[in-house]
This record gives sequence, structure tokens and C-alpha cells, in this order.
Amino acid sequence: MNQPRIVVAAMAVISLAGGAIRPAWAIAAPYAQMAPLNRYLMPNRQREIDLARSAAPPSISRRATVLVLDAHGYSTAEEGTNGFTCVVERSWTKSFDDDNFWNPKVRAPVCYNAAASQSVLRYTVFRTALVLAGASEAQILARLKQAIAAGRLPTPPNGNVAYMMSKQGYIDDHVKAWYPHLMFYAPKSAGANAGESWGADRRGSPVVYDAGHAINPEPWACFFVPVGHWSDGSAGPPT
Amino acid sequence: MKTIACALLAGGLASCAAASAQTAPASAYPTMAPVEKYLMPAATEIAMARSAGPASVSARAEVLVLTKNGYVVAAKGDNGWVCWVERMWTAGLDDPEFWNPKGHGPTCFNPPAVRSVLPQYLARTKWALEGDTREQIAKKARAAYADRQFSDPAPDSFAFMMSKQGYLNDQIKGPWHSHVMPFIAYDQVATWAAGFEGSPILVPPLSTFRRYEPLTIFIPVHRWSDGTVDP
Repeated sequence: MNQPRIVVAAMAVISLAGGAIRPAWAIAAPYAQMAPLNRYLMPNRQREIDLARSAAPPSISRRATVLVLDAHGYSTAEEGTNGFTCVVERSWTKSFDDDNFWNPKVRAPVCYNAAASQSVLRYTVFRTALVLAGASEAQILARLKQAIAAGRLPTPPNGNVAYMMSKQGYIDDHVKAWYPHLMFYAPKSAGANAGESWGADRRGSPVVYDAGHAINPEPWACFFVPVGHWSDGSAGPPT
Repeated sequence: MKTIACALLAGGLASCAAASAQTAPASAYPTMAPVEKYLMPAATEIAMARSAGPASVSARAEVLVLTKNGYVVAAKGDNGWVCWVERMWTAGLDDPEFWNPKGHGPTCFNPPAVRSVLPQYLARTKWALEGDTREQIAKKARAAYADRQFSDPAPDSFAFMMSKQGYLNDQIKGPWHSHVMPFIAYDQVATWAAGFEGSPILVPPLSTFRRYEPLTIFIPVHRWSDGTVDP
């Protein structure tokens, strides 16, 4: 089996094929710093709502809360009733050291379940607030570590799941939308030995773990399971 | 909510006949068959067990095989995983094929599942081989939950069921699809949106499960453990 080249997604992921080492093509660092803010924003609010909802099948996303980003941060565009929250994440939710960390083209639609909405999503909002306040990548990392150490950000409880099944997403310049997939947030310790307890990144395994994730201070290991269909029901690319 | 119409060994063994039943329906397998009918040659069973996961995982896993006295370790492992071939009594306690001797579900449990789920299935096996009825097994499982000897699956518990081999029930008459199988608490089904229309997370017929047993959900994946495509 060809191991999917993960260079995925929401919250922090990204690096190459489980390697923590920055790939050679990243040396050019085409996105060395933040672009003008308006390049990260979507002027059409409804398009952002629709894009956020495309992260999961309509049976889930149509009843989800939707957040949209403006110059002041994320805010609720539509209230949901099922506990899920759908949002279009931007590049700064990637791993620190990722060569696309400031890529303004990144649009990563994701729908978090209720547990993840109360925990994982708060890290996205936290990072975003720092970005909008003008923090550099190094400053975001430092402030994130401080907040976690001070207990100002939650440790995810059990059962954190996210859907990333949008065909329209743009995760980065390398993988575009990647594969439709589910994301599972496990305790950080699950990342030991490159995610061995999940059988991740082993030849033939359907579970993907980005070891580059270890560089992030977020208190979890995130695993990906590519699935067969996009949220609109069309077939995903073969893995 | 969409369920797998006919489903899997309890792991992933569960059958569709009970999908809408409130109580266990009449079964073609009302009682346990002679124990010999559940057994197979050890070498065959070892190979089948390992086929549940990619070789990169299963080759280093511990392997259990079933004997007249219960499961025994046939091969030591060193990665914390355990591969084995489930029998139908690991299906839901109200599954009508609970005693179907043809059921074989090759599966590889990850370490959290080894700690929290496997002991429950091994206990069921012991009770079955001691001659307990399905209801007696259910009663013991409930008691074990009540006194906290058993519990809901540990977080991050899951299994690989990626074998082309196996026989999950009389409706499927084979291995179903290659899949990853998280174990979750009964009440977590909705919080994962498992079984929702279009969700890639599928659920077995919930009516075949009781709240005091591990619940499994299914995420089909693209390839079998041997690397071939599951169409």
C-alpha cells in the first residue's frame, strides 16, 4: 500500500510522511511571514459558511454551529443544535516550522464534535487571536506554551473527533485537499514511537500520524484515517 | 441513523436479523454447538489472526488461538498488539448468531483495547466453554460491569479488521469490508455522529448490544491487509 503522504490539517498537523524534519523543498520558505490580513479573510461570509459546512456530510454539518473569521477573530455565524462546530481553519493552525504556516491560500474546513469543540477548537481560536494581534510564529508558540502551562487551555477529554471531508479545502500547496479523512485526538503519549499504539505510519496501515506534530505544544497526538468519500458523497482519491 | 445492514463480529460480529428487534429474535443457533465446531488447526488460526492487520503491525503482535480450554498464546509479540480470531460470542449479547460456529472474525487489538476490551471477550469465552447460556453470560457481564471488573472501553481503543479471510455472519458469508474498528462507550455513538447519513463511521444494529458490553463502530478503509484494494 502506498502510505498516504499526510501533510494534513486541522490544528497543527503537517509535515511530510511522518517525518519531523522539514523537507528540502521547504528551504525556500515562500511564506516566511504573515501576509496582509485581508488575504486570509473570505469577503463572502456565506461562502465561508458553506465551505465550513462542507467538512462533514450534511446530516452532521447542517445542524452544526458555524464560525467565520473576520479581522477581529472567529465569531459565530450560525448557531447549531447538535454540538458540532464547523470552521474554516487558516494556515497558522499548522505545525510550527511548517513551510505553509503563513500561506494565505490555506482554507481547511473542519467539523469538530462536541468534545473537540470544547477543547481542540479553543486552540484554534487562541492561535488566531494571537495572529490578529500581530504575533510572530515564535511568539505564538511561546504564548501557547505559557497558556497550556498555566492551565488556561483545556486538555481534551476522551472522544475528540473531527471530520475533514471537504473536496473544496486547500490544506497547503503540496497536498491541496489531500484525502477525505477523520481525525482522532489521543493523549500525547499515544504518539510514542511514531504512533505505534495506533499502528500508524506502518507500511500498509490505514492510520496516519504526523510525527511533526510532536513539535507542537498542544496536549494531544492527532491521528488520521482516510475514508472513501468526500462529504458530497463522491469518491475520494485512492490511497 | 444508518446501521450496517447486516453486520459483523463484535468485535464486528453482529447480524442484521436483529437490527430492528427489541429482544433477541428466534435464532438458528439457540445454543452452543459442540466445542470442536468452533476450533481450527492452530497454524491456520495463527495465519488468519495475523491477516487482520498489516504485516507491519501483526508480525510483531501477540497471537492467541482458541483451544477447548480457552484462548492461549500461540506467539509472543513485542508491540503491545494482540491478534486473534473472534468467535460469534463476542458479538452483541442479543445477536441471533451468538452461537453460530461458522463465525470467524480475525482482528488485531491495539494496546488500549488489549487492556480494556480483550479481557471481557476472554471472559465470555471462558464462560461459553464452561457451558453457560447466552443469558448466563449476559448476567455475568452485567455483574462484572456493576462491580467495575469490566468497564467501558479505554479511550483510543480500536482494532484492525482488514482481513480478506473470516466469516462474520450468515448474511455476509465472508469478511465484509476492510475496516478500522474503534471501541466506544454506548453513549458515545451520537457524539461521534456514527451512523449518520453520509458519515464514514458506521454502527452495528444497536439492538443487539447491551449497555454493559463493549460497543464497536466501523470505519471502512480502502485496502485489505495484504495491500489489495477493497472494491
